[in-house]
Amino acid sequence: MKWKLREIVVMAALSVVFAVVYLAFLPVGSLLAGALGPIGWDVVFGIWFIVSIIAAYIIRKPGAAFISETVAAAVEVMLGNMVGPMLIVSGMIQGLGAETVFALTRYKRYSLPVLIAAGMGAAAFSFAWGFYVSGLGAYRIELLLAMFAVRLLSGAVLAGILGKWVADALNRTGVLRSFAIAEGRRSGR
Amino acid sequence: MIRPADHRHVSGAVPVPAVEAERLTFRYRSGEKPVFRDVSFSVKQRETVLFLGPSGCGKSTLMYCLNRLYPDSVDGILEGTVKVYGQPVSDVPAGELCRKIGIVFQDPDSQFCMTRVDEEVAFGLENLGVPRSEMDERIDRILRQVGLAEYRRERIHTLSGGMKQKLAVACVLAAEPKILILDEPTAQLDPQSAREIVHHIIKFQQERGLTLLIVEHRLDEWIAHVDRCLLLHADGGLLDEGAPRACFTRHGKDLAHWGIWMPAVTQLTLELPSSPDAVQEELPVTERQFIEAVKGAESVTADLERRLQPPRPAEQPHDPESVLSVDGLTVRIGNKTVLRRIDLAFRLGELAAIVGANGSGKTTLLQHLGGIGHKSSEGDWRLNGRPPSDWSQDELRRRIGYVFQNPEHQFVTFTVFDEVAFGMRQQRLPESAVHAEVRRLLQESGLAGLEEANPFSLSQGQKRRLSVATMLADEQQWLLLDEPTFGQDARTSEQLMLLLRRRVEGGKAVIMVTHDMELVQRYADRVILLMDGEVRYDGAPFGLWKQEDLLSQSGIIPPVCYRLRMMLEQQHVGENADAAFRTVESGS
Amino acid sequence: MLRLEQLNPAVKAATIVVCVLVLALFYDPWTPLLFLAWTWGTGMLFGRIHWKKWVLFFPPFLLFAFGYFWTVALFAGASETSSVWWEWGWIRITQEGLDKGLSLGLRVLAFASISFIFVFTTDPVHFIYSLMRQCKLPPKLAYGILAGFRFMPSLREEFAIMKKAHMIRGVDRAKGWRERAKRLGRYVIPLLAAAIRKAERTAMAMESKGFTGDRNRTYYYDMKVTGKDGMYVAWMLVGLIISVTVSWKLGTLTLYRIQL
Repeated sequence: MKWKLREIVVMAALSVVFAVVYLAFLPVGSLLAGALGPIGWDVVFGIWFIVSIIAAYIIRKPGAAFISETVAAAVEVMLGNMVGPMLIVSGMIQGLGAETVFALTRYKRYSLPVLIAAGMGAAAFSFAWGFYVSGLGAYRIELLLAMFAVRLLSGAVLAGILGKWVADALNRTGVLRSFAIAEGRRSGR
Repeated sequence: MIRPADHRHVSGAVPVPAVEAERLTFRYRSGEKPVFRDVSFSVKQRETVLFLGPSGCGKSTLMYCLNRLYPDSVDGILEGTVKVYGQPVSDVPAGELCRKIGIVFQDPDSQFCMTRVDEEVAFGLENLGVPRSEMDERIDRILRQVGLAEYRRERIHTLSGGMKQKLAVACVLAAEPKILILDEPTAQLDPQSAREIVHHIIKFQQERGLTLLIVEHRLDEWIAHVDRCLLLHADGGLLDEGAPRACFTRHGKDLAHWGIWMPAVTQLTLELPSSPDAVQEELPVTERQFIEAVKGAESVTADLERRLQPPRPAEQPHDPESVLSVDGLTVRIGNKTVLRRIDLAFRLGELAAIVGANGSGKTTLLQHLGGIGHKSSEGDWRLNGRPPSDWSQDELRRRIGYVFQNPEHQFVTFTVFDEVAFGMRQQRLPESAVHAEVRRLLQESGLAGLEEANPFSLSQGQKRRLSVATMLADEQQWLLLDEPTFGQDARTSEQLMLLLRRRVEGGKAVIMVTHDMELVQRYADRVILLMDGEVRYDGAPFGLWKQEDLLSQSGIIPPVCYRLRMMLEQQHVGENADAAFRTVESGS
Repeated sequence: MLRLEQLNPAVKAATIVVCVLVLALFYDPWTPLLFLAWTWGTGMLFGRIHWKKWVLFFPPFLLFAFGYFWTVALFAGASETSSVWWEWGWIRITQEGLDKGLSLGLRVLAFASISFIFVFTTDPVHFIYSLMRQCKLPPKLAYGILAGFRFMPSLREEFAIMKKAHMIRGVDRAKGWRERAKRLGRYVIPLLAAAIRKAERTAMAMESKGFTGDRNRTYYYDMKVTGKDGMYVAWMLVGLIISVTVSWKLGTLTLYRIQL
């Protein structure tokens, strides 16, 4: 299944807009972290996966979730995000998490529960990655479980539900006419 | 530069056509109706062909099918054959087609993928497999041809629209195609940049023997160079083809009905009551043709004179206290002084136009008048004698409306109905009244039946009408518009201007920034010329046309009726001098 | 003399990934601290990085590292053998917790400084080209990313105009976070729609210029791997090894919960 240039450039364009959104969420995250402690970050963590859900929902090709997160991360690095190339690695892993869920449904189902599950998949993978790279393992087990649960919820809501809402709203503007999502709409799915 | 291989001359025979389309039919996979059907045509080498038709008839789609962009890029089905120099395009390997056909698009901002100028030119060369060692020299050569050599390392987004289009043309020609498709390349440019681009393209055509296929709405710059016109009708079939004058004469009414901009001269000829009948049989498309056809008829001169100084209806009584003014307005953005000590006052019952070259500060001035200008500014702004501090945002918005150039920027809701109702709902008007008013406005703007549609899904013209309807709904006394007819077809533009005129005659005020001098001549009571941030002219349009120095410095060309008037006058003077001379001769 | 700006971006990026992955194994304060010093030194010596940039961008990370230190210190999961400094309800500050907190805070700073070196000495476009050449990133992805990157300035302009336009319609007077969220939504959808349209047209333009995604093409930016890159990698690995070894010799090296 060959990727069209058009699909990739659209993913890059989505990434650029969301790069700005991510920046807007950083102060929100740090505020929450200041108030609630480390779990504050997990509350908003889901927003960082939203691109993979939106891209997979719109394009509906195998690899959409993975490639879009990677592209988004690459674009962010280019834009000068101080986290640097590690972003691309974490992006790949998050994308893989969402991708796994879509793969499990054989890339045929894009209903809300699937998207929510994909958001949670991304959250789970990112948590495992964070456990290693950020040393989350230092925290006590009760806190870890709580953080994990909150991140899963955040992925479900901020990536899954919000992602679907954004993509549906975009679909109504008619700008996604030449993508799989419009086909789904036409055939009533 | 001419490659014999491309021409495939058979000795003595007619050279192979550059482009042949045979029975082309294109349909979107999702659509039931084909976009165009059974279109066949042939373009000779070195010919310049203009494609005309109403909006939505598929002209651009047709062009994209010629170099295989469609159906590859979209989900579509193309039937029929396209041949380039006798070879079907489906036989040409994907990366090679750009060496035969190039295409320039209308949006200067969506044709590039790289950040800097040289990188973008290099992109085309990379695709062609040009060795790295040759790239620098070729890039220099290409940039020099369009006068962009010193911008080599500049970031593309800092270039003006005209420069971007020049770059686009240069990049396309880097692959040295002999056929160039131009899809409304000047639609988003101001008239001066448009003239420059046309000049460059024609120059390239002459130097390299290019074949040009043009889709355009604004024809004035191109028409003198067009060999043949192809007319497509709304259902996507070929209506007619022929030389420009013949086509316009035969289908003048159709074209007007479709809202296609005709060359200003042709439009004028159709409107002048005194046009001799002979002219109607073969409409002129250039000024020279007009002068020849009219043969110095006095009535025509008188008509033109009348058009230039139209009588304005008596001013409606309105509140003399209502004045929108700026005093000593100076705006600095960065280290550039955009506006210098501007003193202007506007009254109700007046349609004023603000004109000037790109970068002269027109939009900045308009934004300041509207109260949304840059924060760092000096000078006084007063509405009805009261400064900004005396006004609440609500009151201000109720009095002053502002329509942006791109209607999409202003959409704040998700349905057409909500969009028009937004302002009224904000004022807490009763819902029943809102409903009635919205329906009326939608009816008037030709948007009835689209109440539930998403504003972004509308066509360009519909979006424009929606943004205007929204502004009208709010019944503001002062309506400020930034290039309201930019990129619009003739019909929509005319409707809009008539609407604005009606408002003004009803006692409201309209201030608009525009590039279109024809519009200014026809509809404006007053025109203000800005140059380098200063007001250099403020008065009736007719007076401005006489200021040749100012106009040429601003890159503005006076409307066609003025130019023709002047040409006729010169002709008269010439003839009178001749006659006088002969009298003197015969007398002696 | 080795100049960081001249190095191959993909190599620099790969070095970062390796160093991060290795450093993440250790939970003692000395390893990241030494490596932090090493990378700072490297940046000073070999990079043309203006000190103002450090001053501007480091503080948020300092803050984050400090916050990390405190939260770990307060909420660490420690073994029973660790000495307790203070206890109150859920909060239990142990020696182990303090050590770990310090370590993780320093880890954040170490990661930040090695990333800074990359971000401050690398041209974004060169980075993508080197990913294409060295990491075999498919050209479609690479140029797609480049095209997206190009949209940023025009996006900013569109956003600015949109803000003004919304102000005209009177929707900027939102207070409270719910209204602000709605306002963000009003901007995001139109911006996304405009971006998607631009993206489709750009892709068409790219293909009309003969782009096929075929690897068989030439490259404007010739990204090579040279001996200097090898030296840089060796240099950073040496730094890594020194950091680990010194910590080990000091007897502080800790691998997760295991003291070495």
